[in-house]
Amino acid sequence: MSTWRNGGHLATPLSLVAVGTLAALRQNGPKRTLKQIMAMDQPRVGKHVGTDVNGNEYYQNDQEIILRNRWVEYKAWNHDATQVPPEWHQWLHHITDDVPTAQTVPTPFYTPKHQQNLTGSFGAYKPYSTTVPKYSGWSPAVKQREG
Amino acid sequence: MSVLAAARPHLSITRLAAASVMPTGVRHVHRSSGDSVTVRARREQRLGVDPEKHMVQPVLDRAAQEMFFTEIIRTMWLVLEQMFKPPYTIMYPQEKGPLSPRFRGEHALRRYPTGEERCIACKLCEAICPAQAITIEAEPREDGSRRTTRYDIDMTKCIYCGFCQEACPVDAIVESQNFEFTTETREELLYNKEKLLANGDKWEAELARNLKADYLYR
Repeated sequence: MSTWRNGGHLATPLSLVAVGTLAALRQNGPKRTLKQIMAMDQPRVGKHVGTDVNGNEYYQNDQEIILRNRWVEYKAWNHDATQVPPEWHQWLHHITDDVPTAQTVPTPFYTPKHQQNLTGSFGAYKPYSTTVPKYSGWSPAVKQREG
Repeated sequence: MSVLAAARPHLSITRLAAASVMPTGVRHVHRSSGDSVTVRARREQRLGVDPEKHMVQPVLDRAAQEMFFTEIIRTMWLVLEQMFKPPYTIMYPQEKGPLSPRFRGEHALRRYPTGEERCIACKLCEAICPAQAITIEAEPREDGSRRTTRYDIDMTKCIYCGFCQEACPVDAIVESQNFEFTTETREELLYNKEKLLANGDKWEAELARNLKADYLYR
């Protein structure tokens, strides 16, 4: 029987739940395997591609289904998709196959340290006007009565 | 129905078997007369032969046609196969779907490598914006260069058509590949110039690489 996996070849043994779990336990240890099962519903085995400034780890396994072959394991317990910095965002979204390194990624001096989307917190963006107001409110000055 | 049954006698297993023992091996030809079945069916229809005599079919044959039990078994096998495969579900946010380098997401104002802002307040983006989401005010800066004092984008109005980045002569306003800028409140989507410049500073690494990868097609 043909499958859509691996471009129509037979499914690799990793697709079997038991075999995949054993392989993940061997490579990752029980703790990380458990975290993977909780996060992604299945144990994952892959090559460690890199780590970003926030400590998130990026993995790749091209034996997996296409578009499921790259994944990130977040460092923070309250992880969020916006914790991925731009260069890894590009890789994770399959925009480029180029693994970001210090040589390939332009780092202008004005680039700040990456921050996640801060909405809902005190650091959230608050809109304000960047110009001086063109009109001012009327402030009634009461003249002193003479006499 | 009679014409159909007569025209396709090979649908029946018994007729198949009978046809297969024929020395010629040709199924379309009638056993005794040697006529083609269409001719024979037409002739029978003309002569008023009872069509019901062709409706007699073996029970199993009928069951195979009406219940499609082989299809049921094949479908069950397909379901069984799927149970041993990982699901084709992208587990966001650990895994993410594919994006184009031309994806139009959150807006950003870019800078030159010197740190100088690119926008020269030509207001082409404001003019072309079909949703009229952009508001620009400009005045000469202290050094005499023309810059914006206000560059507001109402992200609740924006339709992400990308006309602003097409119109921009200096690649200042661009749409980044970020779509994860959801907010808790509506007012957080009323971007001002500082927010847009901060977006540009944040996403410059990705913006520059995407523009470089795509410049031959622009």
